Amino acid sequence: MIRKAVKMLNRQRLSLIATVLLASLLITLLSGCWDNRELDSLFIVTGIALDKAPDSDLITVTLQIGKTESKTGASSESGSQEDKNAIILKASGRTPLHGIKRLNFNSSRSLFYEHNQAVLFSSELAREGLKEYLDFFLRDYESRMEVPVFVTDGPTDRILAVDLEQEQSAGMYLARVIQDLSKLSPYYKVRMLDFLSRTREETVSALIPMVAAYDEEDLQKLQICGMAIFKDGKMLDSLNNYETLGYILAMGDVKLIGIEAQSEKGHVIFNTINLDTKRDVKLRQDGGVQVKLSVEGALGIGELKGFNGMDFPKVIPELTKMAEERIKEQIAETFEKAKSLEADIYAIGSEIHRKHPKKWEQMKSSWGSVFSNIDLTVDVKVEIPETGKSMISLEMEGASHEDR
Amino acid sequence: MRIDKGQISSRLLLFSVACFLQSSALLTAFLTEITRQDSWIVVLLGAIVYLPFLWLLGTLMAMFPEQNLIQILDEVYGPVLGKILGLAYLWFFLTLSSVNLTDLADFTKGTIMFRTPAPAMSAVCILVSAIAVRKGIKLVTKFSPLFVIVAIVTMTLSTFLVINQFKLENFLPIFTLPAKSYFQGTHIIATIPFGEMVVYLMIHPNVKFSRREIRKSLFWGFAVGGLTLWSTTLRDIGVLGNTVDLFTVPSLITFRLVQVGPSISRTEILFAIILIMLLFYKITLLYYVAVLTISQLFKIRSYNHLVLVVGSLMITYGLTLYPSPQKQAASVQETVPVIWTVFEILIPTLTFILAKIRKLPKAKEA
Amino acid sequence: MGLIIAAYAIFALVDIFPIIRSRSWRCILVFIVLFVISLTLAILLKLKVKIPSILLFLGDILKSWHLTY
Repeated sequence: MIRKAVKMLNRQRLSLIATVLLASLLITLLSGCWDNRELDSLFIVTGIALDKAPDSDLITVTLQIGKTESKTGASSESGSQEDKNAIILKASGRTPLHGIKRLNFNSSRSLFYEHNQAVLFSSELAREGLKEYLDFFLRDYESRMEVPVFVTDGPTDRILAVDLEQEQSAGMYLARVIQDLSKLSPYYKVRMLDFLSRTREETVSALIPMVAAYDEEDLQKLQICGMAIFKDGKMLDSLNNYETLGYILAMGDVKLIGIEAQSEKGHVIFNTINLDTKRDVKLRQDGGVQVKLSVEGALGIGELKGFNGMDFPKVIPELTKMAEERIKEQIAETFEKAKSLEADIYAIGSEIHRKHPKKWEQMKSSWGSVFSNIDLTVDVKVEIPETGKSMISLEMEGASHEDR
Repeated sequence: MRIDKGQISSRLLLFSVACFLQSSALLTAFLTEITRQDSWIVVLLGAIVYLPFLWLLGTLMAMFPEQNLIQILDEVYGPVLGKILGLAYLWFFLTLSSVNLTDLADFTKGTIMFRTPAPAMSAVCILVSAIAVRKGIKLVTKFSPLFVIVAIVTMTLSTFLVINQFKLENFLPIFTLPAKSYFQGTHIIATIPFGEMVVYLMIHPNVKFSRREIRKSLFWGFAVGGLTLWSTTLRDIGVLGNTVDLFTVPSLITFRLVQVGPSISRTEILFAIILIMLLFYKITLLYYVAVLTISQLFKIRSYNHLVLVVGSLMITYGLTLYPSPQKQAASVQETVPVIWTVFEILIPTLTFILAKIRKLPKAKEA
Repeated sequence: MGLIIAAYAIFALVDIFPIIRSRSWRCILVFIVLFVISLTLAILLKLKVKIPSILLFLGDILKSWHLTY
């Protein structure tokens, strides 16, 4: 009987049976039934915020969800509210993932982080330390390393809940703003990867842009109000926008930034065409460090006020001198603030580690005090090749018809 | 006894070797965790250290042009010891193929398909590979030129796309790690991936070559694959800097960071495509070698009907090898290079020395 | 479990008859040995029985001889 069965199942028939069975198996296995993720079963997260939960040791995780057309199943137990363009989901937990898992229990949709635009930490949480909350962002495959991070001046849910006219959600708005600022200088934008990288280097202080919400004539707005200074993952202090500019100018690669200068002769606003800074770090014999910043750049005149009676050939050297002094002053002021906090926001320690690793081993334990005693020299050389559509202003000599 | 009568050109061998080595370019975390920003130096050192053994491989192939590894072992060590070593190599090839298969399944599961069970991914890969393996070496290596070119184009493109995030200072400081790290890293690179080229000792009888051609093909394949591995490591260190040792798949993070204007971003799908493509090729080749080894050892003339059962063994055996990613990482960094050295360096070297002493292969009597 | 048995049954069906027809006893023996090992491993894995890893075992031996990093 076996022989009869074997005879019937000749090669061709066997091949046919095998092909049909194989095809059925492949169709079952390749249809992606386990991992199908339909758009209407997803909550697309556009902003993640972490804050301290009131009156407890827990943290609050706030998620901003980009709104889709169909109704959602988010329950009110975890705290959800709808605003015009986005949904806010909130939950408390011991860690970010703990809070997020709680949100998952109360929702008919699964959370999708691949399009997250911003990660926000409240200043209150930042002062306690952020290192322990970064593991989720580092580990989860969906969370992205290039997402910009922010510190909020005030509670994070207020920032995420801001109803903006021009953008669908606060997360997307912040991502766009910081992208625009990064065109002025790449040091404005701090990605999760950059923050992690700086936090890993124990002697370097990380900076994160700060964002605040404010009301203006019944409209809610968000603004970047400076940068938070971190040391070992804990927020120490902050730089306001003016001090941030001093930091940006010291780091170089600056374009299109406005620099304001004033003297007894007049007031001018420059537009930076390009400005770059070269840094020369020298180790002194006494164990100290000398830093020389050589700033070179080209500026354009954005706006002039004053300089009464001065002709253009005399104004240019005056403006050049004003610009150079102003840039020097701004860089020095921010540097002094960093020195007073012993916060190496310029990553000078990192540079010494890279170029003089042996000497660094001896210096790193006392880097805070070495940094606060750094000898800084700023040398600024600018040119003003651009004056805009007009060369002279109405107040300058030669402007009036009677002068001619 | 030639089991697979198919013949491939030495040029196809070149592409096959290049493709085989390129697949390891994407999974470098086991190295970057140890040697961090100096990983690019270690890749170079590993390639230099392996070069003499590459020459040895070519010499063995030229000395025994019609005999595969199992037959060489039989001739050099005699029937008993030869069979024992043959069985050891069978275990080695099966383990290599199972580990790579499990890696492919775990990678796709971890990054793209979270809920799909890993054995399902493995089974799909095996079923497709089995088609090639049943047809023989010609089909196994047929698409290697295409895979190599696609991989090179994608890697080059990705490097250009992240050039704006590349920082030379990320390579500093140099040579500040303990000497043991460099030694360990070099050993790892020399054995995984370069040393795994020993599998070609099972394939060379099917290659139409002259003595010079085989060495040339091996060397250029090694050069292309090695260069891809080196440039990928350079790119990842330049972009990720001091975070390169944090990630389990650094190249994936590099691809994710691509941001050129608003439209060119989120290119990690390219990484997934080339990883799956290259790993699939490597698994198919190792699968073919494992099946061929079984057939040769047990003198089975036609291996077609053993293909699926070996495939199923690869899937199940692969699942028993490492209970967790941490154990796998520790094993790959600490013990696997030592075990692989025996199969990839010690036994081939000893075989060469013994063959020379015994003046093998003996000339065939007319 | 059903899927595993079905899959193994399918490829046994595909391969066993041609092997028997070829009357290559070595081939049949090798096939049966490999099939039994593979099926046993599959069933044990499905039943969540802990199977010791050969690689880790070899690694432990090398560690005891201080031959690892």
